[in-house]
Parts: sequence; C-alpha cells; structure tokens
Amino acid sequence: MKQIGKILAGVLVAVLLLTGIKNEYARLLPVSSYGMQAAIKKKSVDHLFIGSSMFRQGLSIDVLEEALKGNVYILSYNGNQPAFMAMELEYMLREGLEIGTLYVDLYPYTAAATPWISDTKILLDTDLGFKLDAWRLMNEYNDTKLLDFYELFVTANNEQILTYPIHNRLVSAQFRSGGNILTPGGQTKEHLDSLGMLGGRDGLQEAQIEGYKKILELAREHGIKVYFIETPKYERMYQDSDYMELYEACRNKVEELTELINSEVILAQELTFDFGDPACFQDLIHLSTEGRTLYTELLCERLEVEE
Amino acid sequence: MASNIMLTLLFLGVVLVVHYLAPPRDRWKLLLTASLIFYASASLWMLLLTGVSACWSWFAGGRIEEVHTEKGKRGWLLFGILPLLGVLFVFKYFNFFSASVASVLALTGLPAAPLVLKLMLPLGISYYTFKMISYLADIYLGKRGSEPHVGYYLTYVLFFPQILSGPIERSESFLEQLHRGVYYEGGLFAEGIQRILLGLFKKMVIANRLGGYVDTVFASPGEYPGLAAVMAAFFYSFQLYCDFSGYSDIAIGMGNLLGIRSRQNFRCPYFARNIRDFWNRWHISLSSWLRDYVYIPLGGSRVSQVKRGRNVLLTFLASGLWHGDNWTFVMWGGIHGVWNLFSRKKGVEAAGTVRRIWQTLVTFLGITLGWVFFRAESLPAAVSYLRRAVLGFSLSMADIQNSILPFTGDNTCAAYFLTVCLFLLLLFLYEWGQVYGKGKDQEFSLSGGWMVVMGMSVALFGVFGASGFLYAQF
Repeated sequence: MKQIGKILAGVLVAVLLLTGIKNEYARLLPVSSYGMQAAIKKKSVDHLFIGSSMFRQGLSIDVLEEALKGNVYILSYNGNQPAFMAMELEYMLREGLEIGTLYVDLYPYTAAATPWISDTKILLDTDLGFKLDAWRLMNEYNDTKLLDFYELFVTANNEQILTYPIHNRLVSAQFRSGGNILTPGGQTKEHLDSLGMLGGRDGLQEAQIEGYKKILELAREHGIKVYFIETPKYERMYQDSDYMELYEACRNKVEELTELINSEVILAQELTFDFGDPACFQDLIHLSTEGRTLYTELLCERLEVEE
Repeated sequence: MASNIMLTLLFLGVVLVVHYLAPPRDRWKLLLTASLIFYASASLWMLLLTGVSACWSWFAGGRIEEVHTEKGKRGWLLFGILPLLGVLFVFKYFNFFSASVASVLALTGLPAAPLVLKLMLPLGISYYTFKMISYLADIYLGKRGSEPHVGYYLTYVLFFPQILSGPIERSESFLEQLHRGVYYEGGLFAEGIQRILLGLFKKMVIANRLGGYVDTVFASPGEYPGLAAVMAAFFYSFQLYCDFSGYSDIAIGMGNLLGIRSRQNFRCPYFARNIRDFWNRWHISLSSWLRDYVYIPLGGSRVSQVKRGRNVLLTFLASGLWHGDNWTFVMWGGIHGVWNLFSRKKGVEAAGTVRRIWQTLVTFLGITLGWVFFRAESLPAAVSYLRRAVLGFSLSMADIQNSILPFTGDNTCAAYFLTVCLFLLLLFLYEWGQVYGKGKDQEFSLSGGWMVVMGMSVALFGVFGASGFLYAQF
C-alpha cells in the first residue's frame, strides 16, 4: 500500500508540474503557420486581420498578399469573440508585434455570445497570465464549474502537444500567414436551403462590446488604423429576422464606437457580391474558395479606394 | 450520483472512512445504508420497487428451503421468480412486445396501435433481477441454503458499486464474506486502487474519447465515407469493451476497497481465438449465469446434437434479449448463437504464433460485425450501415481526411485520432502482457510502471464530461 501511495503521489506531482509547464511554456513549441505565436514571430505586420472562422474561410491570403501593400497576416480562431480578440491584440502588442492596419471581424453571433474560449488553440498560443485573465472573464459572465477549469487548464491541448511533431506539420500545411489555403467547394442551392438557421440570441453581450471598445483604445494608443469588416453570409441569413435583429444592433453599436475613434465599418452588403450564389458558400455563413476569392477581391478594391 | 462515476468515487471516499471506523461485524449495516442512499439518490420509488422485489425473493428463498416436497420447492421457485420476471417484463420488455405484436397484426391486415407504457427503467433492474433469480435457483438446486439474515441479503442485492452495471455477483461468495465480517486487508485494498485506476483509464481515457466519434458516424453513416463507417465499427468495439469492462473494474475495485472480493468480469476478450473463447472472457458473470441457469437446465450439451443446437441458440437469444428490447439485440444474440454452433470445441488449443494471430483477428472481426447490430437503432439501420461500410469504402486521401474529421470537426481531429491510436496501443500492450506475458498466470496486479502511465493518462487525457455508462442502460 505504501508503494502505491508513493506512486500515486508521484503521479500527482508530475501532473501538477507538467500542467504548470504546459500553461506557461507550450507557446514556445516550434511555431506553426497560424495563430498568435506565428504572428508575433513576424515582429511587424502591415495588415493584421483578427477574427473568427468568418475570416479563416472568408478571406483569401493569396488575393490579400497580391492586392495590399506590405505583409499580411490573418489571425483566426474558431468562434473568436470580440472580448478575446481584444485580449489577443493586447497580448501580441505586449509581445512586441507592430501592426500597421487592423481589420476586425464583425460577426454579430460572436458579439452576442457569453465570453468563452471556443478554440483551445488560443490557450496553446499564450502564457499563464493570459489564461488566468481569460478565466476571470469567463468566470464573471458564466456559471463556471470545476470541470471547466480542469478542462481549460489541465486537459486542453494535451492531444495536440502529445502529437505535436505530426499534428503541427499537418495543420500548418493548411495555412500560410494564418490564411487558410485549403480549397473547399461551394454547395447547391437545395443544400443551403435545407440547412437550419442559427437561431436568435439574447441581444449583444456587454463584455463583447467592451472588447470592441478595448480594441479601438489599443489601436488609438498604438496608432493603428482600424476597419471592422463583415464577411458575406448566404442570402437566407439576411432574410432571417433573428439574425437581422442582432446584425442591426451590432452594426449600430460598432458604428457608434467608430465615431468616437478613427475607424471604419465595411459591411458585405456595400460590395457587389452575389449573396445568392450557392457556389460561393460552404454553408450559411462560411464562404467557399470561389466566394472567398471574389469577396476578398471586392474588399481589396474597396480598401484601395479608401486609401 | 448514480450516473456520474466521479461523484460515485467521492461518495465511496466518504463511505470508506465511516466503514473502517465501524466494527467489522457491523460494517454490513453501513454498506446497506450507503447502498440505500446511493439508490435513493436516483429515485425513491425505484428503491421501493427494488426493496420490495428483494424482500420477496428473500422470503421465497426461505420457503423453498422449508418445504420438503419437490413439487412444493418447484412451486415456490416459480412463485418466487415469476413476479421478478414480471416486473422486468413490464419495465423493460412490455413496449417492445406490444410493438412487435402490433407489427405482426398489421402484417395480417389487422391494424392495431401498440399499447405504450411510459415507465422509467429502474436502475440496474437486469442485474439485480438476475442476482435474485440465481439466489432462488441455487437454493432450489441445493447449492446453498437460504439466507437467514434479511439485512445481509438486501446488502447483497443492493450493493452500490455493483447495482448499476454489475458484475452479477453470485450470492454464495458475497454473503459468506458478510457472515465472516468485512475486514481491512492491505493487499485487497491495494488491488482495489489498482483496479479503479485501470477502470478509469479504460473508461475516461479510451471509451469516453471514442464515444463522440462513434455517435457521430452511427447517427448518419451516409454523410461519411465508408472508411469512417469501418473505423467507427472498430472504435465501437473498443468503446463498448473499455466502457463496460472499465466500469466492472471500478465496481470490483470499489468492492475491494470496502473489503469485498469479487470475481473478474472480463479477461482480455479481444484476445479470444474463437467465439467460445470470447464468451469465456466477455461479461463472465452474465455468460456463466446464462450457462448455469438457462443452458444447463435446458439440457446443456449432454443431449442430442439437435437439442444442443437449440439450447445454444436459446441461450444466446436470451443473452441478446437481456441486453435490450430491440430486434437488433435478438439478431446479435442469434449471430453469436449460430457462430457458436459452428465453432470447434478445441480451437484454442496449441497453435503456432501466426495461426494464433490469425484466429484472434478473425474472431475480433466477427465480433465487431456483431457489434454493428448491437449498436444500430434498428435492423434496417444496421444493414444500411454495413452497406455503407462496404460499398462506400476507399482509401483515397480525401476519404481518409473525412474519416478522421468527425473526431472534433476541426483541424485538431488528427491529434485526437493519433492520441486514440496511442492509447489503444497502450491498452493492447497491457493486455498482451496479461494474456501472453508476465501477467499470464498471476492474480490481478498493475506494475508500478503501468500505474504511472495509467494515472497520468487519466489525469491529463481523461474525458470527464461524458460520464454515463453504456451498460447501465441494459
């Protein structure tokens, strides 16, 4: 029994040590071609796009690199929320990243979500201090449980770390400068019409609006020009009252904020994009390769006009 | 509490402290109280039903022993068992029976809406009913006397570590231990910890990790490549094994910590070299129960070939039905029954390494095929699943990618897939050691190295969110 007790105690100590090391130092693993660490490694980015999978699937890195002057980087995490985008921006600036122009994802559903880290890659890219701040934020707005804490601090990303040499190579091959280089095809109208809508939410979340504000404040502090960008959604989304209610609220709020600080909003509907072309969409909210290329070209034209 | 293993373990921790503070002779009282609390935490009326069933079977057991005529004994045996089976039938099989009768009537042109009872299945009903039946049958067969102490008997039926998913412990060894008094034994306590660790590894690290993938692909196999259907079938084999044997290990381990010894319920079943060998290794407490109380009473193998075939088939059909109220389980039992009939008796005797590996692989493949019926929602769903697995199978790069994707649905799927493979390899190495290596002829034990590996795996790779047990639904 004594020996078993010693072994179990040893296991506990080892687990605590490994967990501590992971949370502080996993960010130092060889850099991938996406995420915050890859951006920080560049030291300076002329055009930084920060957002959710809307940006991952909705922006073509090929078109951006060709059309915009200077280097481009797309920082996208699944379901990335404004509150965390602000923290990510702050973290990267603190780590010494210089940013010329910042493009922020304007996706109403993330602005309506209660703060939660929806992509654990964020945890893999940051230090313990970031994680503790993120936990405090989540704790403030959610009824968090011990299991949530355990999953975020102890078990999150262990699979990726265990298989890092293979996993990182496989996933990094899908990105260049944070931009997705996979080429997903479009859908048929029948398929897109058969998909269920994403439903309503309980309005915008205070923490997310604070996130937008903080992004603007950081941008002002560091002299960064900011654009809020909405990627196109399939036409059914713009006919959905639940979505449009959120959309209007989010747009009004962000426009209100941009009046205070030098920044601009570019909505998808301002561009001559065909929202009803099923070939341009993978689903109701994500663009296909064709849609991504067309939209990014239109966006760059618009940005050139701005300049 | 009953549906969450971590809460159950916490509850065990509290029980343990009080348990060993009480004098050995009185510890059964604590075990009974803890079991009552545990069961009541799920539902009070379930506890009432189970308590009444247990008291009835205890009473009937006493009568079987008291009467002196064969006719009287048999009468009390039937009188004791029939209400138990009746309760089991009403709660577990009535709706299935009613729907099946309605389907048959519909085929003959007589439309009849099935009568549906909306009843919640009492926790562990299949397990404790079989425990009570074996108790009564053993008294009738003269294998044991009736238990004079109703408290001991209730402790046996309701013993909380085993009420949820077994093992179906026989009364003789359990009650004998209570009569002797429950004592602390260092060796048994250590074995209990090791068993719980092994069980948590199987359940939390492997079964829970595979559950999401299996559920996703089985829910809509048509949306995934044939390769995904093949992978999900194999993964389900491992999920089911790790879930159920993991729970058995935890349940036996919890009993060990409380000073109760139990028989092993699994012995590395996927190392079986034929179907008979498999049933000597899989859910041993159920297969031996069916052998002793169904197969042998039917005549066993000491009858003509035709009757032996009938007995085997009936036993396996009963095994299928025990698992649930669906034709898929009957089909699964039928497949195993027919396969068993054609399996050679001495197939597991001496053979070279290559032949041994071949036999093991073929057996595993057949068992996996059977699990598809076991897992599917209906017989047509099982057939369509198998069609998808065969006709949609290819090893193109796109199909490989799309077959791994259901693990997480995003770009972390490869990491999850590789991690699953790694843990299955670890389990294979551990069990290989148990079957062919150092552990072959030894009592159960986990070496220090394995304890470190499994302990760290549970802590760092355990999937704690999904904590239900597959076999608890049976």
